[in-house]
Amino acid sequence: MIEGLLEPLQYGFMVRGLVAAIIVGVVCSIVGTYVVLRGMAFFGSALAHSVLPGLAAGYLVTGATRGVLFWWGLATAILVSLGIGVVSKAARLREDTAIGILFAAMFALGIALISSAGSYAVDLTHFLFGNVLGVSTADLWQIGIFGALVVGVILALYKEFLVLSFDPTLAQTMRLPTRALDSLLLVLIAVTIVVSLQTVGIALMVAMLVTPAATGTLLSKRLPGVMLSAAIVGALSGVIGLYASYFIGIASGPSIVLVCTAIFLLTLVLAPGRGKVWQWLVAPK
Amino acid sequence: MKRGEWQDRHDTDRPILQVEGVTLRYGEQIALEELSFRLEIGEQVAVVGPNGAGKSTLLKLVAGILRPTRGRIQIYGHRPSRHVCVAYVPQRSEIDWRFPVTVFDVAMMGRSGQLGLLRRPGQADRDLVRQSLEIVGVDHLADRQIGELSGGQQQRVFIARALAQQAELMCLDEPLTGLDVNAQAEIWDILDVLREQNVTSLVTIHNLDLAAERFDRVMLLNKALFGFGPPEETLSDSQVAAAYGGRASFSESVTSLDD
Repeated sequence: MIEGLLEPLQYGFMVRGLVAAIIVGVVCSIVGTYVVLRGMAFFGSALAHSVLPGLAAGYLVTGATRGVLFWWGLATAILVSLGIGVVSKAARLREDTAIGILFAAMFALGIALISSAGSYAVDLTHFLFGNVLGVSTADLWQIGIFGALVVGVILALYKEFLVLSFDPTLAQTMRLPTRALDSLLLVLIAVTIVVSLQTVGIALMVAMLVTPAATGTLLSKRLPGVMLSAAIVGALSGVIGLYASYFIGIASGPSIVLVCTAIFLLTLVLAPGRGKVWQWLVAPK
Repeated sequence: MKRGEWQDRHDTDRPILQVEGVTLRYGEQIALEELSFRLEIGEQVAVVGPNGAGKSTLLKLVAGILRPTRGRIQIYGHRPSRHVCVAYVPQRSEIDWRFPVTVFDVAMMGRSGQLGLLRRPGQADRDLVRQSLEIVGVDHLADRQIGELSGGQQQRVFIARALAQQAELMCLDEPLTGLDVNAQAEIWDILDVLREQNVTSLVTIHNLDLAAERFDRVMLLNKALFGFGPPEETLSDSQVAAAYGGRASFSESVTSLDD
């Protein structure tokens, strides 16, 4: 059993993949807690898709060097995250409508750009679904540093983001810089998405942002507890998902997401207090 | 409860709230027009008027959440945005009660203004939060998730949060809405406590009888000010009919709206 679990670790790509999956699982889950609590799942999904044209342009210009693509993706994600607010204000649209317009347009532009290159199908698949086993040591440093930065900011501004998310009106009467904090949170989500691109890819990103955090809300009634349990679920999903992908021979991104969903469903049924089985057991007969 | 710390920043010779010629428009639409009035320290004022009269809007202007299009609002002689001593207690419908915070966490949020960015709450803040929860009688619920409480208890937690904020002026938006008679009685008790603490309160309320019974002064509002003074003067049948467009008279009140 132990030998079986250790066997994949003889491969450097597998070790790097596991480290990347754990970091991404933790960072996504902590940022994702706010995505869930503030009802931003659609925004997260849209933002992930909107990164594609940036990656495609970088890919066409530089010829697919991974480390460089990170910066192209980062710039695009930050631009789009702040742009959605501008568009919805300027056009007097509901924010989700503005997101819908921008998201589809950017995604289309991305696919159009990639389709102009030769090896269209293969590269597109990597962008869409990730390729965690292709993570290099340099990539790991990038993921680690930016992931730590995101988590550091979230923890440092814990009190502020909590007030802003629970009761934005209170944040205003407390004279907190609410607009700056709102924008900062969007940028943090953008960075998180780019950090996670190689692990789960664009199309499945929203699962990593939402599912562990949703599981966390089933397990704790306080925000620190939600973040901690979400981080554990996120990291576990990464590890179990990657092992499953290795042994069963399925793609790594979808494998991680499916494991994560399974943990969510199990928690939904079994969680103390909130779970269905629990409620059935303690329900007055 | 210590109230001294913020006092020295205040010019207490000036009224706690002075509103002069305040108008708020959204584009063409007028939300509030040419309001002028002042509040004295420690008084409790009911704001009444039909739905859409701009009652909540007035509270948000006073709390510095909205800015007037024209006119001036001053707290002890300064703009509201220069103060954290004005608390706004939102309508219950504005809050997501599933949010993972405990009663204690919610009250602690009242400290985030004084603490400033990046600073963590210390023992003094925790003591103040405890005291505030005790004053409104929900300290035994401190570790419960906020959604597990009854409507009246939730309302009291939000008042405790305003106490932890060391608010001297509290804007309570429809504190009675959605509460049964017993829970409403609890809120009246809390308002008595606020009076003892010399907290000035501005409370929107639907029920004209309760406004007349419980408050020092009543403000009759429908975009513009239709009257402001002692209940028996302000709530004369003719004034109420004018403000409500003849739809309700004082005698038959609007209790039916107060659900």
